[in-house]
Amino acid sequence: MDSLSNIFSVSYFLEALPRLARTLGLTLQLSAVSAVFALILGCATAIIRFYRVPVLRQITGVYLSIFRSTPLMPQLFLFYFGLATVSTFIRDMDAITAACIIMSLHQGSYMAENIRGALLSVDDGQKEAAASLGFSSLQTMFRVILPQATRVALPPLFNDFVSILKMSSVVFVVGVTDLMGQARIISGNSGRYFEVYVAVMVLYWVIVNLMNVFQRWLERRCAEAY
Amino acid sequence: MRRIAALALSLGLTLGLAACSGGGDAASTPAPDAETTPSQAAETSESTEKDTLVVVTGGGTFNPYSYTDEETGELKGFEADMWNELSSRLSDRYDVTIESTTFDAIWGMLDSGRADVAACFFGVNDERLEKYNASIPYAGDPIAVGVLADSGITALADLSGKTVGVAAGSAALDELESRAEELGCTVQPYETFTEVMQDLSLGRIDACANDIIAIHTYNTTGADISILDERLTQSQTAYFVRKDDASAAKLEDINEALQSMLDDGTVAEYCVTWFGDDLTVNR
Repeated sequence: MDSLSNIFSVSYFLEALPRLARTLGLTLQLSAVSAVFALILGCATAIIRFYRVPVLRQITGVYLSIFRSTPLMPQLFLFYFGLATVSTFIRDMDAITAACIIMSLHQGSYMAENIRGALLSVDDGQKEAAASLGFSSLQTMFRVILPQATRVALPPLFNDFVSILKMSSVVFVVGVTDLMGQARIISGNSGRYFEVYVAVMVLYWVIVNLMNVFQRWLERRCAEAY
Repeated sequence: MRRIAALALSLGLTLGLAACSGGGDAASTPAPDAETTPSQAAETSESTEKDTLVVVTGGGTFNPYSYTDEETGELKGFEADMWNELSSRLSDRYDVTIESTTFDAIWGMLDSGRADVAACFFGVNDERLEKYNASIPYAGDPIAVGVLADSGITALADLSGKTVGVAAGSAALDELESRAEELGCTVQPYETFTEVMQDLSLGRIDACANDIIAIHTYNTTGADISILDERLTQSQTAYFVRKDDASAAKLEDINEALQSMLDDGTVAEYCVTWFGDDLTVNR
């Protein structure tokens, strides 16, 4: 027992938990804002690629190939520190804004492909039926295809939201002390890494499982229409 | 392999030094046998009186304190220079051997009696003094504040209302957080010191705090950071020996040689070579 409490001190764990929880607000705010913008960006990109809109399609192709094919950390580092050497706009930007921009761009590129897949899953007959009723192509998109695609897209999109929450743990790189950043500070000072990282996992676990409850409720509501 | 190479090298070095000092003796008191070379004379006449002194320092990549040169396998760095010089100053009484090992194993070497002196820019603190005896302090690695050259910040009092970047887990973070109110500054933690320096050079933060040697190391990579003369902490580094009578006698001799190196500026010279600044204390 003695050696076990040396490795993992329950009292230190309980002491670290509230200190970490204080940064939850920032982590949630960062993730929520990024999720909204990623969703908007993902939808727009998916629709552009679904309809093969000329010019815009090439632009989104470049965007996807950069942000979907490279890791988040160097993207954030190069944007916040690298581009700041040539742009005063980025130099004056605060770190939280920069983190939100890069996280939105990064996860938006994944969402775009998930949403495009959902759009493709809607049967062509639906489009033909809408056309025969005299719907314009925009009307068809927003009143026929998107509502049906939403139901298919929900599970992968929630995966994306969970990813955003967890990827926010890299923002300490630009000096934003989020949940993970606070964990690094506390554990670096005390040298008690196990307790702190278990506490971090517990907090993330609770949030993600609350998200799961919401996801199941939303899926049930979408299913009611069928 | 590295240890064997280091051992062979230090052995060769001590023999070489013995030869040098032997040469001096041979000149003052003519050798009885003209056939014997000075070095042999030194070996035979002094080996019975000479004590051994095994020094252990860090090996590998503990740059700039003590590290192994990749190509030659030679031990380099501040402590290597210090002990090469100390070896020669102690050579009339001791056969000095310099060993290197991983940073963690240094104290184990000392505890087990495989080494007599632990030498790796170790700071003096109460826990260490409880277990070991320390030499006179020879240098320090205090926590210092770095600013951009044109910032107008010249003293700790100027930090009021400013933002100071520090790396998570560093001693500087602890120190600054406890004094943030007194100094009136905002403490901004980052993941590592790399990002602190990025934001400092971009002007997003006003100052950085870290061990002075870490800041100096940054300046060698092209940055131009001014270090405030006022330090956040005082620190002293010393050599450590076991708490026994034999070690106490050796420590006295080491202290004497060390003091002579502090007095004639040798330690200051090595500090400037390896750390970019004179960090000596106790002059």
